[in-house]
Amino acid sequence: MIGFNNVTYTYPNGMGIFNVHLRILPGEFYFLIGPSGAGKTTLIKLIYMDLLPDKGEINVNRFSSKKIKKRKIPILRQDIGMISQNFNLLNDRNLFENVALPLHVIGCHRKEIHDRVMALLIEVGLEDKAFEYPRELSGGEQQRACIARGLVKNPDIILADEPTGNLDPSTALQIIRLLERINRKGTAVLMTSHNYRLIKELGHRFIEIKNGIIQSG
Amino acid sequence: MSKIIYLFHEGIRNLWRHKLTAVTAIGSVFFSLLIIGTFIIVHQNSHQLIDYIRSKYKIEVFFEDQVTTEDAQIIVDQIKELDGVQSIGLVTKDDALKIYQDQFNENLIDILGYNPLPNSAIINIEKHGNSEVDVEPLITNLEKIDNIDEVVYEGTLIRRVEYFYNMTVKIISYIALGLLVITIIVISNTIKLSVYAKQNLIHNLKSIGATKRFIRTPFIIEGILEGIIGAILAITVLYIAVKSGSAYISDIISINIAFDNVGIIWLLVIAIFIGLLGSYRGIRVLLK
Repeated sequence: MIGFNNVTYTYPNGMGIFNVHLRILPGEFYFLIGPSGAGKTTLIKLIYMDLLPDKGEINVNRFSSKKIKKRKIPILRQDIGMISQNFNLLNDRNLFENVALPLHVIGCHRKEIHDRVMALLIEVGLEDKAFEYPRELSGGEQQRACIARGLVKNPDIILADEPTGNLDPSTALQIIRLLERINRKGTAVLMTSHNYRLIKELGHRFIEIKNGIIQSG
Repeated sequence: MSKIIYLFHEGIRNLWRHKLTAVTAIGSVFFSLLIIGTFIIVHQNSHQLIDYIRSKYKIEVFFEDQVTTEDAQIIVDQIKELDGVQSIGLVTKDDALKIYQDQFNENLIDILGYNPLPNSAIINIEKHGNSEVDVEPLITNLEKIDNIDEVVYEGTLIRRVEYFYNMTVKIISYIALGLLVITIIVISNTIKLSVYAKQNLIHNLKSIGATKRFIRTPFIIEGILEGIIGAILAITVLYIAVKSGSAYISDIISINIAFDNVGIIWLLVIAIFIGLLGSYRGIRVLLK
């Protein structure tokens, strides 16, 4: 599903990730851990090809970083659910519209959009907040909405970049439990975190990255 | 199909979401089209004014003293056949005397004891659409006719009017073109501002797999709508101005100012072009 083969990406300041080998198979749940600046977000950006490697090759589903054309990158991203630390919800749209956005991108019909969005809002426990705006929600609710948006197009993989970074420990654990539930239905999850204490008890596989180099995994 | 409806709907909603920038963009389209529209109306109607002025230009032919009224009539019939003559009217010695008396309130016969004024004729020149009147061949032909003492024609003035008219049309075209470019830049900068304010949206859309076309389309629809709204406002103001201005001017000179459908269509086309190009330029930078 996701394969990194000796991948290096260097920023102009010399930071980046170096000679990374990685394989994530369908239905797996991985934590990517490491301190701030270790290269976690760079790795995520390389997966959804916001960045392309300087060296090596990345394979995501049927796409290869060596062969992919720029206009095909949106298609690659349509099979990936993105969740970020800053929620990235649009403040001028209500929750329903925020979650529905990826379905409009792939051209779903109104009825299908309604059914899928409402089903997901029920799943994340936000069905009664469908027509509220992000600013009216708590951090945990916004993150659950963000997860619903990431899931709404039934992606093969969820990339969650520090989804618990702005949440208190109890809410953070709820979010991880929600991601675990999603994973049990077959969606692969790659979640980054710099909070080792939060995840060490959960029993999932984790990849440790430091200074752009994979330490263990 | 549902994607197209969604994008169109988003374009309309963007107008409301970006109220401030939308008002700025609509305002700049409105003022630019008001000026461009004024130029179009002036251009559409200026030939009427030129025709009116041309209609006032006449050639006066004075016959020699010994030419009798009967002989003068024969020469007038001869002149009527020349190229460039629309109509000709004979002014007899007696007519001329009356005109003099009416204008100066003096009877020349009382003063001089005889009528010194010659028979003469007034020639109306034939017009050919909007092109300049070339009267030189006609004057040459008139001067060749026997018994004509003098041909009087305000040629220099006519040429000045024609020259001024052509220059004005050229200058107006350049100014309109300049305004068009300025408006496109203003619109694209205005939309660029609204796009910068929506970087979060663009980032979101990119991360969920939206194509450039999907991201760009609502902004372009927004730009076109801003152009059309600005044009409708400008057309309304111009229409009212032309209606009331026409009534006022037609009291002074016999000209009817019109703002025809061609002008309206032109303004709408320009507005759509401005909105399209402006918004495309605005969003292009952020989508690179």
